[in-house]
Amino acid sequence: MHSMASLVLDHVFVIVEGPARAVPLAAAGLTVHGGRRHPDQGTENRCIFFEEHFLELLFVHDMAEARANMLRLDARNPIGLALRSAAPEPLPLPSVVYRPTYGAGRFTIDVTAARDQPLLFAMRPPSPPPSAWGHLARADRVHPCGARRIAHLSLEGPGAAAWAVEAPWLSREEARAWRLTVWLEGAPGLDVVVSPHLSVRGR
Amino acid sequence: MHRTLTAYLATTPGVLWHRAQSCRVHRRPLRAAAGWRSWMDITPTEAWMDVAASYPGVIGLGEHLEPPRGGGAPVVVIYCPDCDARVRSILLAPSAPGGG
Repeated sequence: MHSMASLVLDHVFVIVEGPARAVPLAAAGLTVHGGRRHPDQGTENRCIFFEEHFLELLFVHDMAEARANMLRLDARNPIGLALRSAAPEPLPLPSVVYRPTYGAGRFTIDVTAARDQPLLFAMRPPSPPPSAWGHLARADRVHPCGARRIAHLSLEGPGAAAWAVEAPWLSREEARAWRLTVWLEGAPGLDVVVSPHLSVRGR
Repeated sequence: MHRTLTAYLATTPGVLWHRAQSCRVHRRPLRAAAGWRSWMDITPTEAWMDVAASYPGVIGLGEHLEPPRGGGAPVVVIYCPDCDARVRSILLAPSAPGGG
């Protein structure tokens, strides 16, 4: 078992049909950032930032670009977990190196290859946390519902229990279909669930 | 315009917030504008239904502002400017770099 105790969560992404999926999150009291586009990847995002990590809603805006890109975000498991580590540790699962053109050579991304599994990836060098991003205002990381951070991720799916990964912020369980629950600290009664579509759930 | 709007609201069933005076989310007065009935009202997607449930006063990013295919007369659209602005800020393409 590969321990990820030394790794921290950089961000979680969820592939959705379009930005409309972010609207219920805003209505639930999460601050939704307007996002950006990823040239040559064919995707665009909307983000919910916290101090140390973020939740990214990712969607295809250019199908031709997405189909030509090695990540094939148009046709893969909709869940992704990005890890951050100061040490150049390899990912605990078979991976390949992705060189996004929008990175302009400043970074590469180690990505796991299996499209039917959640994407596990790590940027090299690691990205700083959102609190250190100059283009973000503090207000972008403050949420009216009180959410302060992603406290825990519960991942269910075929083969999830066998993942050779272990991290204190991640629990895994075997299930027939993929499902991710994002537990938010500071917002009692509010979870973000991907099963298979993203939704907000009251506890 | 006021007479037209009043008559329209009084006689046309199914208009958004036919009887409402204010947005139930933002508690602000609704506005009226000329437009066309939304195709989303006829064939709503699941995602759009979530949007409308979250911010029911949204007018729909052009869906209400374009004449329906096959023609159709303009109607009065009743909407909440706050709902509409909130949804537009999320749905419209980003204009600046950054953001993850």
